Amino acid sequence: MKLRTLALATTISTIAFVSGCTSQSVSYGDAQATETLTKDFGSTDLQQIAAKMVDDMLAFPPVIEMTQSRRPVLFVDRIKNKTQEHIDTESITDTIQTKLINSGKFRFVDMTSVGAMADQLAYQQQSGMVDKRTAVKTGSQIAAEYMLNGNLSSIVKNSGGKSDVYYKFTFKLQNLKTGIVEWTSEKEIRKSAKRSTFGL
Amino acid sequence: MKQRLLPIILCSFSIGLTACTAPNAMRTQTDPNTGASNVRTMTGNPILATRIGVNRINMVSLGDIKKASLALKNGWFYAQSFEYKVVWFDANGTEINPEGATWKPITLQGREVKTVQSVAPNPSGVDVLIYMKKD
Repeated sequence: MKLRTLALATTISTIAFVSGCTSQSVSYGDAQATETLTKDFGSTDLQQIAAKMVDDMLAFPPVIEMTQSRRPVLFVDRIKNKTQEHIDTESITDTIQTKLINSGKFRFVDMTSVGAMADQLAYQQQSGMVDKRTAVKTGSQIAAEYMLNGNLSSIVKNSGGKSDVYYKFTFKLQNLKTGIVEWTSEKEIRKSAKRSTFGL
Repeated sequence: MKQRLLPIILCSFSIGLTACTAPNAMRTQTDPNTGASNVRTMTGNPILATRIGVNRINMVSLGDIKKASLALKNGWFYAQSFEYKVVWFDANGTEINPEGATWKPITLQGREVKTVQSVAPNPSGVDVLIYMKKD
């Protein structure tokens, strides 16, 4: 009898212990903290790239002169991802665009929403559902004067338990009228990782 | 006697830990009339201050936007990696874009002085606060 009770108690304790070990704990972290979970492209890399590009652009003398009395209209082309990783490059350009708009120095046209805008304008003009007096008149959109685009490339090297990744982000501002590259900047990031012998 | 000693030891230990992890912070204070900037220490962590520090802060105007150049110094003779964050304030002392300042990693060789720069998010930015920490 005693043995059975003891076995039951042991089983319950073991189950409780194991389930305790597998429980998941969730907590909020600081989105601005540095993230070094893996050597892959991460939030800190994105934040560093965006901050460097915006700072360099706002500090470049011809850009200062260009934005002294007016707010030029820009559009963002895509960033070519030449790395081996899947990286959401639109997220990088979104952050750069947000910072540039909030600087009060530039205005943007968003080419990703052109289709949706055209659909809405067509609905207003042609559907017969919208009061013509309140419909937006077409043909008054402002054209972009400059284009922002760039490249993201990487060099990865592995040797034994060590690996090294080097990212290079290049960004440029091109005048659509003349084709001249008015400004360009680079951000380099190096990350190293070392595998522990016992996985600890 | 032992019971009295225990809280004292625990308190000293926690103070010691706090001293290691608390960031150092320095801030510029610009006079709105003269435009002159003073630098003052906001948090002086004595343990961290022996390892890293700000040598100087220069503020320049780029049109109507300000740029801060901050010379960070490694106080030790071997390479150290740490993190810093630059926060901008307007003339009223209000932080600009409170969630916008990110921690950036930096490595300095022994006794190296490296300059980092930060441009104000918009023309209202006049003062900077730099935090430095080492985990």
